[in-house]
This record gives sequence, C-alpha cells and structure tokens, in this order.
Amino acid sequence: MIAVQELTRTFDKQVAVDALSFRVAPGDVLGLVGPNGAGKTTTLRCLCGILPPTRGEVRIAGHDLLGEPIEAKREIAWFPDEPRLFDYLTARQHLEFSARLYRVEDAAERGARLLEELELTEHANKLPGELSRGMKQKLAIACGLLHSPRAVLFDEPLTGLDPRGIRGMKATIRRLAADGAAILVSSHLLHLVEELCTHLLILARGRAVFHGTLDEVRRQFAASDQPASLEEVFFRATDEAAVGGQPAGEGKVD
Amino acid sequence: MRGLLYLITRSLGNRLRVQFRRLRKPQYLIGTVVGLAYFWFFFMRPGSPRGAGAPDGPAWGGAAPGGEGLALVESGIALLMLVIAFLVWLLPVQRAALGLTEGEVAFLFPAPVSRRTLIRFHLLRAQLGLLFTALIMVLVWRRRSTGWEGAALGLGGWWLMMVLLELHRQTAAFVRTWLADRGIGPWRRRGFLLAGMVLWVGAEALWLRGSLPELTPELLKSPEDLKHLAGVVTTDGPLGWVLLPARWIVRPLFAAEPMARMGGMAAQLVLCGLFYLVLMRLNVPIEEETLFRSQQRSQAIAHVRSGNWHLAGRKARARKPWFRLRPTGAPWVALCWKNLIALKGFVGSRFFLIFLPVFLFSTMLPLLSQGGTVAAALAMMLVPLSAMLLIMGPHMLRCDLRQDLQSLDVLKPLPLRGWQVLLGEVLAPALALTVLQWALLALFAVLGTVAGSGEGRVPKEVMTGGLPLLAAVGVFLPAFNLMSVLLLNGVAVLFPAWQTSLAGMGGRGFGVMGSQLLLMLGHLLGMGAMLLAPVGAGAAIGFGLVLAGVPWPWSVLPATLVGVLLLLGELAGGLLMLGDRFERLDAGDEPVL
Repeated sequence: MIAVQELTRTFDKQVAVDALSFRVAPGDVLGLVGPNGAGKTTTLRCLCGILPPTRGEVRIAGHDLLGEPIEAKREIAWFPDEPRLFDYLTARQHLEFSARLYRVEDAAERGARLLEELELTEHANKLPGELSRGMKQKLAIACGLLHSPRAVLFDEPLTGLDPRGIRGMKATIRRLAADGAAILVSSHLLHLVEELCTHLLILARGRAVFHGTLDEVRRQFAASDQPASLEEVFFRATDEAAVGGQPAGEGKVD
Repeated sequence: MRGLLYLITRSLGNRLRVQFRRLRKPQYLIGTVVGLAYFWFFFMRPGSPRGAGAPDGPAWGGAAPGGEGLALVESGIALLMLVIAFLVWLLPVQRAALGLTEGEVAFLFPAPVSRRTLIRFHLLRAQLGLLFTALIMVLVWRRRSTGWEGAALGLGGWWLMMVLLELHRQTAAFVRTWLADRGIGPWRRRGFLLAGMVLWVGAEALWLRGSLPELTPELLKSPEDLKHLAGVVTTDGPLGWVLLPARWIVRPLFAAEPMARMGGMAAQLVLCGLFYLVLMRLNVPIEEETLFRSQQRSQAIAHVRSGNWHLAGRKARARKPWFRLRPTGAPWVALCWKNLIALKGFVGSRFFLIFLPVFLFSTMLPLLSQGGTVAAALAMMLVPLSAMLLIMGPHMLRCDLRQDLQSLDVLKPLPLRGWQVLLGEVLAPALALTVLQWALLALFAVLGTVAGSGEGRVPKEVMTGGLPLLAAVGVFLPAFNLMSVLLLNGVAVLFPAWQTSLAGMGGRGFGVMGSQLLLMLGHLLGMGAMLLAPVGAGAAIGFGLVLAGVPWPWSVLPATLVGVLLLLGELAGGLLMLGDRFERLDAGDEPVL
C-alpha cells in the first residue's frame, strides 16, 4: 500500500533522508522512530507530497506520487503533529471543504457520523480558535478520514492530548488498521509504538537502522536470552549508528 | 534591575544581529535598500520638501505664520492633546497592564522581582521605540536653520513628549483600575467626567458672556474676526487656564528660541515625574490583565506572520458561506468557497454598513434633487475611486495563496493539480473586486444619466458612449482583476521565501517598506506587459471598425472582447506555468527569522 524505494531528500548539501526503502502493507502499522533530526518528519512530508524527493520513488496504493500525484494523494490522509486548520472555517465547513476536494459523495452522512464519533457534533459551528487542542486534533482527524484513505500518516499523534484524547486516538489508529489501511506513525513515544505498531523502522541520520517486526527487533538487539525492551533497542540501535557512522542491523533493512 | 537591564540590552543586541544577518538574504537586502532609498528621497534628499536646502519652515511643516498665528497653532495642538488626554480617561474599559511578552510574563512574574521594578522595566524597554519615533518625527518635521543644537533640542522635545504620553496613558489605566476596584466603574467614572465637562463648558460660556458682551454672530463674519476670537478664548478664561500646561508641553515642538523650548521641556519633565510617582505609589493588580494581553499580542503576531493581517487584533467569527458547497464537482471550487468565507473577514459587515448607505444616499440624492451638477460631481468622484480599487484592490484583498502560503503543508497534499490550486485561490479576490467594480460602474451609469453631459458635468464622449462603453468596461473588468490577482499570487509562487519574509518581518521597518514598493512596481510592470498584446490587438480592431464606418462606441465592444479573449489566453498560459511551478514548490524553504 505504501512502497518507498531509495527515497533521498537533501536540503542544500545536507542529506536529511538517505536512500530509504520500506513497505507498509494494508492492515500494518509501521512505527517510525529515531532521535531528533533523524529525518522522520522529512520522510513523512515526502510521502504525502509536501516535499518533493530529491531521488527515489514513493508509491501509494500502486500510484507513483510523482507520476500520478492526484490518484496517489486521493488515497492519503496526513496528520501533522500540530493540526493545521483554517482560522475562518467552522468545524462543519472544514468537513464540507474536505468533501469537495476529495469528492466524497455521501459526505453529509459520513461527516455527521464522524462528528458524532469524535464527539464534535455540538462544536460543529465553532471556529478552530474556539476549540481546545484535543478538539482541533479530532477535527483534523475527521477531515482526514472523510474520504476513507488507504494510506494514513501520523506525525506525533498524541502531542497535546489528554488521557481521553489519547485513548480515542489509539482506538482510531487500531480501527483504521483493522479496516485495511496502511498506517505509518512517527513518534518519540516508544510505549505508543510498542502498543500499536506491528512493524518498526528506526532511523538515524536519515538512514534506516532497522526495519522489521517488533519481535524481530527485540531479538536482534537482545543483550542476553531475554528479548530487549523497545527502549533498549532504540538506544542500542541509534548509539551503534552514531558511533559507527554506519547503519546497524543492515541485514534487516529492506 | 540589573538582570532586567541585561535582558533589555541582550535582546536589543540579538535583535539587531538577526536583522543584520537577514540582510545576507537577497530578498531582505534589496527590500531594505529600496526602503532606505525611498525614505532618503522623500525626507533627506537635497531639494526634497523636507531635505537640506528646502525653505525653512515651522516644526509642523506648513507656511510659517506670524506671532499670533503661531500662538494659535500652538493652542490648537494643545487643545487636541487635551481632548486626547480627556478621551484616555473617558473611554477605555480595560484594566491596567504592562506591555510584556508571553516569555517575559513566564520568566518575570514568578521571579523575585518587585512590582515597581517590573513597571520600571516596562517603561525602560519602551524608551527605544519612543526614541525611534521621536527621531522619525524630527527628520520629518525638522527645521533647516537650527543646526545640530536645534536638532538635539527637537529630538529631546519629541522624545519627552512621547514619554509623557506613554506615562499618561499608563497612569490613566492605573487610576481607572484603582477607581474600578473601589466601586467606581466605567459608567460612573464617565458620568463624573462628563459632569465636570458640562460644568467647565458652563463656566466658559459665563466667562464669554461676561468678558465679551459685544460678541454676536454678526460680528464674526470675517476669518480675521474668528481668528481673533479663537486667540482670546484659548489664552484667557477657563479654557486658557486649562490649556496652559498643555501649551507648555507642546512648546518644544513650536518655539523658535532655545530657552522657550527648554522651558517647555522642563514642564514635560515635571509632568513625567508626577505621573511616574503615581505609577509607583498606586498599588493596583496588573498580573491577570498583563497575562491576557501578552497572549493576545502573541496571537496577533502569529496572525501577521501567517499573512492573516486582517485577523490581527480582532477575534475571528464564524461566517456563513456565500453559497452551498456540494461534495461533487470541480474540486478547486472548494478553495474559492473557502476564500470567499475568509473574504467576509476582510470586508466585514461594517464595510457594507458604510458602503450601502453611501451607495443609496449618493444615488437617491441627485435623483431627488433633480440637480445635474451634484450627480456629475459624484459620478466623477467615482473615477479615481474605481482606479484606486483597480490598482490597490488586489494588494488589499489577500484572501488567496498569499494568505495560504504558510499553509503549504495543507495545500500540497491535496489531490489537485497546481493550476487547480492557483485557480481556486485567485478566484475569490478577483470575483469580489469585480462585483465591487460592477457596482461602482452601475452607480456611475445612474449618476451619469441623471447628470447628463456638458460643461462641468460628465464628459460628452463618455455619455454618448452609453451602453456599449459600459458593457465593454464590464466585460474587461473580470479578466483584468484575474490578471492582477494572478500576478501577485505568481510572486508568491515564484518567490515564496520573499513573500513569507514579508510576513515574517511583521509589517515594520525599511525592509518591509522597500519590499512593498518593489512588489507594487513589479505588479504594475507585469500588468503592462500582459496588457500589451490584448490592448494592441483590441486597438487595431477598434480602429479598423471605425474606419469601416462603425460608430466609435460600438467598435469598442468587439475590440474589448477580442482583447479580453487574448488576455484570457495569456492567463491560461500563466496559470499552467505557475501551477507547474507550484507543484515543484519546495515547502522546505523556510525563512530565517
């Protein structure tokens, strides 16, 4: 569903993402982790068409993002760490706007259902400025899910959410995966990744340090017979990459 | 206080350093050079109205009046100051607050810093801005023959005046809060002030009656009589007494003799000291209001930096869309729909509240009076208004890609081609401008019909053109507006860093001024270039038709249609080209702030 081949992105002479390749199948949840500046957000921005890749190929639901951008983008939902909304559109108007852009014919029913599910119905006529951080996040999710995307990209989805919002967000991610969407979650919160993700991609200095299932990563980075925790995995993988200057666990990288 | 001084000096140093570092980027450097050149050309160039070698004049820049005239002007300005000061006590409802940023609130409020030190910090930090304003005022209103000493005195006078106004504003806010906390709210306060005002006006009337019994309307026929009366009223009696301190305060700006100016400055200093004492002594709560205003200020800055200038300083309101957006159909219409909603924020109901009565009144008045000259005057007034709207309108209505450029993260993942995004974005302002101009055109037609043509009325050539001319202009306007708005959006697409840097600079400084001037110049040149072929082709066809015997007004319409078709062709090409550029636009090119 999401297929990335040799994705490279440079800013001036600095390489932010270096020859990254991976796939996310329908129903899979891929956790994208790495230290600050590892290239996680740049990768996501390349996958949703905000940044053009310097080299490489991105395919969404079989469509080349560069060659068939419209078809590819119709299948994507992108949720940045900070919900980006229009100051002067109400919650309901945001849904109407999204419906027209993605040509969602039954938008009225779907929109109403999403508002209901996300507990936004009573706030439907409010502007983003009148909504709390969590409600804004919910509204962004409602807009993104209106067209039933097959590839969903989350950047730090739990930022600024209260416990109820966190629970709701986790449930949304699980439901999307169960419905067959390919999901990519970038986060510093390792417990979230551990809880939700089926696969893991560790980035360091723009390069893939590891890509595989959670069980595989625990086994590979285990110090003894006991499987390593994700925190131990993270530090070992990224420390090795920092010390060696080379990606660790290359054998596992697709 | 040392820590706060450190904060002021280091912040200033870092700010200057960032501003100088910005100049490494061509967009800032060019803008700043052009802005400085513009300022020099108009205010400092030898031979300019305010530059060296210009005739000497009084501080306010008008013709130098004699002693009585000068005193009158001084009294007039003093009276204006007094009115402003009175309004500062009468109108505001806000509580006292210090002008701190969110960061300053977060660091200083919980820190072991006394309240008085915070007030001193607020006053001290404001000095740089006040001094800069004073410097600009001295440059703009400077005298030629006073030399460096005079300039220094002028700067001192203006600076002290600014300090005094700031201290007075702050003191008034403190006293208002102090009164409010003791049960004297805004309305009771206003009642006291207005009662005092009424008493004072009564005293003035009594004094006038007693001192000038011979005063009758018949005696005030000439301007000289009026001038004499104004002089007497503003120097003697109750008004004269009230005006006395205000006159001292403004004296440094008017007096020619250094001693008189220094005397005025001494008066300014004494008043500054008094206000300062009140501020230090009056213990009113300032924390909550300061926090609230710091948040408001941060929001306003964020709006300006994101290009939403119209949202800065006011609360966004939910607005109804102009039409219902169906979920099916051309997707780019959604962008136009969104921008039309935003347009309501730009124009607002206040605009219609003003425009519609003016429209109706100016239409009905001549019809009712059956007078041709009033209608003609109004009709001809619409010509410069329309011209201004034609040129400046697209600069003012920014509800398009210029506003959304900071939201590239939202626009770029949309399943739309670049040209579709551009088309959807530019349609709303072009549409709004066209409707407004059509309304003005209709008004012109009504007024022109009422006025008729002839000497002192609407030019005969225009009136005889009638319907075909009106139709030609009406057809031309949408294409022209689309071109104009597209050109400005083209700048945003071709030079996004420059566009965002304009917003990033927060709308102040020589850099912004220069950049805006360059933008206007480029816009005019771009329009000229795009109109060249359509106007040339239209003119050729029009002349051809006239030569073939078609009456001239009727030849204009087909000529315009051909020109508009050509222009639309150019616009389609431009849209595709800019759309392609938009698709390759790199959202990673962030401005250095």
